[in-house]
Amino acid sequence: MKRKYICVVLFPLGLLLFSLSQAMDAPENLQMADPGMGFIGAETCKECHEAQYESYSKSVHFKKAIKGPASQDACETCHGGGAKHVEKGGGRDVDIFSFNADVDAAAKSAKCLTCHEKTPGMDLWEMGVHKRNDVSCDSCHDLHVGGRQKAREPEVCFSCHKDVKIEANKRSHHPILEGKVNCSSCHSPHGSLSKHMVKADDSRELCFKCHADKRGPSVWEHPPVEEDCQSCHTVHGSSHAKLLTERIPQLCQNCHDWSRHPGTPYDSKASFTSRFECLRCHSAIHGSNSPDGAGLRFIR
Amino acid sequence: MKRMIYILLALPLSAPSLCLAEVRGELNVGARATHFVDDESAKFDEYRDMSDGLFGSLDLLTDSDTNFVGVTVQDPALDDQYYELRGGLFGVFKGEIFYDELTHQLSRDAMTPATGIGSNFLIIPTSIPPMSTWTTFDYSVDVETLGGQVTIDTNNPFYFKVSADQQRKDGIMPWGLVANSGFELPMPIDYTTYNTTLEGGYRSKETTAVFAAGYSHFDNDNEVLSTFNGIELEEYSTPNDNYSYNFSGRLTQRLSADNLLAVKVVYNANNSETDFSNFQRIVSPVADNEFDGDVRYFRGSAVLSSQWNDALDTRLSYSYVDRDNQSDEIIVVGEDIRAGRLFEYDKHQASLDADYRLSKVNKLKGGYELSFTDRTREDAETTLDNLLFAELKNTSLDWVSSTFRLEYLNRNSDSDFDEETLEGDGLINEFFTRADYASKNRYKARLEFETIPWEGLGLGLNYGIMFDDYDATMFGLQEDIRHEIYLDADFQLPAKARLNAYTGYEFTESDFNSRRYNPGVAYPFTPPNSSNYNWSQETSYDFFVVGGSVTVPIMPQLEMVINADYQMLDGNIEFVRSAAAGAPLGTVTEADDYYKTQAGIRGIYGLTDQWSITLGYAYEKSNLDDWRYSNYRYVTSSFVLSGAGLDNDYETHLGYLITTYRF
Repeated sequence: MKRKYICVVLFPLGLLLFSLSQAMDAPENLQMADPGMGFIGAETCKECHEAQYESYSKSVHFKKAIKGPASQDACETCHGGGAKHVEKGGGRDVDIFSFNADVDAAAKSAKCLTCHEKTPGMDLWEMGVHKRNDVSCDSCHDLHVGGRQKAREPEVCFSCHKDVKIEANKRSHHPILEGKVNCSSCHSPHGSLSKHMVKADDSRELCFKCHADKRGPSVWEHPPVEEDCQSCHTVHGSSHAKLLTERIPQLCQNCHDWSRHPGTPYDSKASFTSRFECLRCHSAIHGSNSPDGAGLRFIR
Repeated sequence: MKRMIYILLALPLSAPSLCLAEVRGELNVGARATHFVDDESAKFDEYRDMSDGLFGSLDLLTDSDTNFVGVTVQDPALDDQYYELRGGLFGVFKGEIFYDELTHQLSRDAMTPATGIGSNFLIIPTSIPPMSTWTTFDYSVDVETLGGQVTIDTNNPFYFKVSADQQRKDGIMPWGLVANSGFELPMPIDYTTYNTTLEGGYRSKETTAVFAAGYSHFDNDNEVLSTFNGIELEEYSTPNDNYSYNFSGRLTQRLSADNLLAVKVVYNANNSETDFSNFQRIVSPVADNEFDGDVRYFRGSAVLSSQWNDALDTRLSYSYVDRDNQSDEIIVVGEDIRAGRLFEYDKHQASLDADYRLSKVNKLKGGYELSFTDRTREDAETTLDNLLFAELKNTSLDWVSSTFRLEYLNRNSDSDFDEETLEGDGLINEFFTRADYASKNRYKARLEFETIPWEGLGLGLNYGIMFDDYDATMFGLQEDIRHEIYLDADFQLPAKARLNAYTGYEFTESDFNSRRYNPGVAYPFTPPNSSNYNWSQETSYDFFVVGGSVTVPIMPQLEMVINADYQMLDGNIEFVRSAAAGAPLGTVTEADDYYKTQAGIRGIYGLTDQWSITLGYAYEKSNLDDWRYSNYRYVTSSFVLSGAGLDNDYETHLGYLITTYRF
């Protein structure tokens, strides 16, 4: 057993050493300032844009150890050469590339991808839903803020996904607003080959990351459970208990009509109806492991 | 665990941060007090620890030109505490370790006459003692997750990621009723899940190749839940121990400047073990007393993304899933022969969609998706979906962006029933189709406006309608319609004041037909009587939400924030049956009806650039009215309930004071 744990430590350590050795050998392929392109240097930019420079200087982009603006041409890495901008006396969008709202989203993202196209996971950006809906990097990331450039979740996501914001605040919900589940806990905002850009091969595999008790395989399987959790559950929030798409017993009756209680109308004249929660008897609804036949109906 | 917390807190001090240049972050220390006017239900703190007393958070980052270290601490010592330590060398590696606690409160002060609560062996009394002698307990689950990950990403084509976590769930959940005595069962939750993933990738200008492997192991400490009433032993199965591993490979290849191809293949196996020898009363139907679950998935997907010219780009995609079930097949020979059904399926999905820029201000999207599912399920053998969509986005006015989307789905399903052989209760299958795969037509439309009529004011309007028409089944869902409309505004008021407001309305209505038969007369065209009749049901829900906040600078150092939110649901279920079947059925007017109100006011006073004080008050009220819980009784002639699902209402006043220091 100890040997197994030693391997767990040694393997990533080996990878680290391997990568460090590769990094030592990696050629410096950074493009430095080219006066022919009209570069004027960050100090000149700072004379008019001091606040932006100050915030930039606190960001990770200012670090010289990474291949980024600081190791190239600072402000002009993203905004382009500023000589003509200065010559014309400056001004909003005057001969300078800006990240304003009216600038083409693809052009803005292209600036970021100059360095980030090889960031793990970014290879699927071009196929992702966000890119196709004119979302650009700066739609979510504050590039001039000190510290982490990670998008503020869920606020940033909610600014476009307003229906999800309302769902997440419904009576039954995943703890998104409580900060215990982030949007990026389940979704890959930079692109994915899965539907809804989820971080798994399908929605079931995603749910099992936190709900492994539902994974089975069970002795007696409930086919909709094995096919799609969303047959019965919503993902962000619901007005019905347990994030169900419909109230019980209506939800169950949508798929079950048979003699006796599955086909019985549960109206308001029943004296005490709490027992009609189907799950009171069919408690093993996600799959039963009973050795006897009651498991077929998920009773034990 | 305390040791881990100390290590997390101490690490930044001993890390390379000693020689780092600057520390940034925020420290919050606060105190709060709550007063419950009425109930103190679990719903109020369903996912949060709102205990009176001290609370706080720390977010700290320190870095140099070459490395960084960060620490996040939230709600230390409370049941929703979180600790994170992260760090790395820029351009070489980054990593983090974290510890997270989540509390999930379900019902507080549940009660039962059974003993042994919290264990997997419950003693049920033969006669029900007075409720004053019952044991009280909480239905709640605490989740503790300890994990970490390292990403090694240097200036070479290779990168590696390693992550691992352990999730521990501990608590009590309701688990249905004892079969004969009708006691509601508190089930102990003692789950542990271990997850590990490894990922390695190669990147070049043209190619990205990623290989990943994952292993997950779920362990349940209570393999059987038993009850004993002095005479009879009852046994209930619980989630079985299982493990899962997967291997995947993904290749993204730029075929040309305008064409990008991504291909992914995944092999995934889920295995489980159920030891039937844990059951004392129920005789195992298999010789080796064991069930071995073995389900394998093979998944493949490919997407070709093409940019034809400046105006047109397309995506052509295909995906495939094969579920291969190699589990033991269990056959029980008892009152009737019951066999576990080895459920398998194949899914194929192909789609083509295109974005076409009609002009600088008009963009048209369209697409077609074909899905086919083949199952080993008699009642739902195949499903064929044809989906078409079109979307137009217009930005011809600088201050308005509008999007209009239409979608049509045609679902065509087939069962494997031989209608000639259907008889008895099973005859219903000729007339009833399950909603999850029933043939239908779905029509969807959505309209979105985003407008900035003048500087400082942003408005959004979003309307959607969806209509499902199940026209091929006599029983089951017939129609389902949903309207939703959302409106939001963000207004920059004079003197740096700001107003946010939103409102939304959702309406859903569904029509459903069914047949009651008890038992035998499933054929729906027989004359109705009190035991055998057709009936229908119309379910509708009105959901309304409104809220907003206003931020007002009172003076340079003082800012006031006032917020209010309200939401409600009104559900209604009407039933109709023939007069020959009996008296009219009663309408359910309380179907998950609820409302929730939140309001608050806080003042934030900046003492200096670093120090500020927040003094606030919040009010929350929530109420659920559902017909299932009306006139709730713990004891009836047929069952003994414990109050699961009953603890929903609260009304709370909350006062708090927070001091904030920004580094």
